[in-house]
Amino acid sequence: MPTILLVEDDRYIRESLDEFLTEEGFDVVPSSNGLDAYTRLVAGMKPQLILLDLMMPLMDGFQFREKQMVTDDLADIPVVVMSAYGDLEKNKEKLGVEAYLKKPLDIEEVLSTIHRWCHA
Amino acid sequence: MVDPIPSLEILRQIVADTHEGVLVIDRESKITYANKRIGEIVGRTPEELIGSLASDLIAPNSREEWLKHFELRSQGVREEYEITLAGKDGTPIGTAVSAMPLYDEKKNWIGSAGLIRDVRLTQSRTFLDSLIENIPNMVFVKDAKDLRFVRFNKAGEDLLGMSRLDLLGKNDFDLFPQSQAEFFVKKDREVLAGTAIVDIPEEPLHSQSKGDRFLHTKKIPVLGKDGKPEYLLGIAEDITERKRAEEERMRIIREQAAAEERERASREFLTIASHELKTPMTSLRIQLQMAIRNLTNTGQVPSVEKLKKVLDTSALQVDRLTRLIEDLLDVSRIQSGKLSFRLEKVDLSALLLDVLERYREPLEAANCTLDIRVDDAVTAVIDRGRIEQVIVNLISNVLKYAPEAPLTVSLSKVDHLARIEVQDHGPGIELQLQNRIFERFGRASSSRHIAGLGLGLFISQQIVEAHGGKIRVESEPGLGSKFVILLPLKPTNQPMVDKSTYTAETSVSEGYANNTSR
Repeated sequence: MPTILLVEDDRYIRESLDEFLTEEGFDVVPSSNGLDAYTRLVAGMKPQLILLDLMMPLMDGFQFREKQMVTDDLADIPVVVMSAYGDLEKNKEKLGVEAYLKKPLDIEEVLSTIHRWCHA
Repeated sequence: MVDPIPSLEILRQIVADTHEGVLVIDRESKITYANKRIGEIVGRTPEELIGSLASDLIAPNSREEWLKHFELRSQGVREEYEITLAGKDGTPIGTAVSAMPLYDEKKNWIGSAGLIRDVRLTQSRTFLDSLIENIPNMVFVKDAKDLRFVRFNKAGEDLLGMSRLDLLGKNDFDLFPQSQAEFFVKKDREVLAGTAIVDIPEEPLHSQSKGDRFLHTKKIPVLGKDGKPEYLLGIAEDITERKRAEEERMRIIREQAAAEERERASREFLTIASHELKTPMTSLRIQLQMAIRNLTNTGQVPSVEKLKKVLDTSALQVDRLTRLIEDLLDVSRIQSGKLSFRLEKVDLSALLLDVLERYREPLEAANCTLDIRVDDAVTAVIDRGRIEQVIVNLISNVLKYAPEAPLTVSLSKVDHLARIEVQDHGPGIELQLQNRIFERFGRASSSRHIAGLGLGLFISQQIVEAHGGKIRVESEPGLGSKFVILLPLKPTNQPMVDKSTYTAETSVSEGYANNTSR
């Protein structure tokens, strides 16, 4: 069962996505901010994919990405960003991510994007 | 009248010893007589001069001019004129000449005589005078002893709107308002105490003709032969126009900056608002899409439990959205000056207790033991719905930021004001954040996200102030927070909030704390 690290600070989004992805057969590890997520990764967690929100307290998505990209075994974990913030093009470049999902999310789109990297 | 001609010997002495230079020249302009004085003036001995041509004494550039004068002699004309001579070393010597033709007994013209004065000093003075007169800045001179004016140029007269006849002999106290005169004199004393130029970049001066002006003045001590200050020289430029232009320029820059700031703040507001609205939309959409998907895929109706959960969550998100939208609309109304109130007589104690009753369950669930201290009848003329909104805002902030701690709510009457206090025992708010929380987002910059828009207190403050009241917080980290609302019992302001000149606050500091969003 592939593992997905879900980093999102809004509790309702986190819980809904968790529920959905679990039903679809993924092992979801929820995290509520970038710092917590980074700590878990450094402690040895190796997900197949990271779903990353951008606007979070303590360490936001941008800062998380920065740290991830300079850390050896973490840099190559694929990241899909979800955000309500516009300016996709600028952010996509800045974050260097594989895919960027706009909020409010469409679950079919979420699923098909994830399937590019892992299947349950 | 008898005019006795002095004896020849006396005449000879007069001509030889007079302080005027005397030259006698013949028809060919050859010098036949030169006295000691002319020798001194032109730097040659009389012996050198006699026999040479007069034109050799004239400065080369002036020779043509002199020839014209000499020509007049031949025609019997006497005149006074100025001409430049040349010293032995070529130095130009400005002279004034009193010239007359000479005749023999038979009245034949035999040459001319000239009485010559060295007028270089006078010429310099005249030259300098004209310079001073023509300098476009005010030039003045005061005597060092009692600081009375001894000199004023035209520019000075124009600036002050007074002729120098009215200025000379007077001092600053005679001419200017006391405070200005005191300043001028103070600077004068400073200048005279030293030897350097004192530069006064800006000083005010009241002119009779031009009103209030600003001058850039330089004052210089002029020392006498004994090394002590004899005069004070001042040169002043009227910088009033320049100053005004500069002030205008600064005003425009400030306005532009303010406009840019408003622009930036509204862009930021839109960005944050759009983000905040999309957040509850996201979970709402996921819930509904999941339900539809399951229905489609399985063709089966979900369990009551499952269905209830989906509907509850959805309803919750709709409530969140509703509150957000209301807040955003309120802010929009405030900014366009359209926040209006419907005033009525309201029993504040009943209103307060009503809100607290509505929140009894959530407060119990959050372990906020409630202590209510309400004076019996406090009636005020207010907009019931809006003041209720303010109280609800404070109570919901307590639930958000100060749960698991006691809460005291009190209402009292103080003079003509109603005083509502909401005191929690939560973490408290740092001093530098205490003003920020009433600002539009009242929180850290957009890179740190916190749920909700942080508009509650901003809107509450607008509502309270529109009623003519005040809201403030008293708090210390670790000691909880007390929000105090003061409301006039009778309306003092127009209830219409006029915010057409509303300026955006800059959104805020990185002072991120767990409790900055209220």
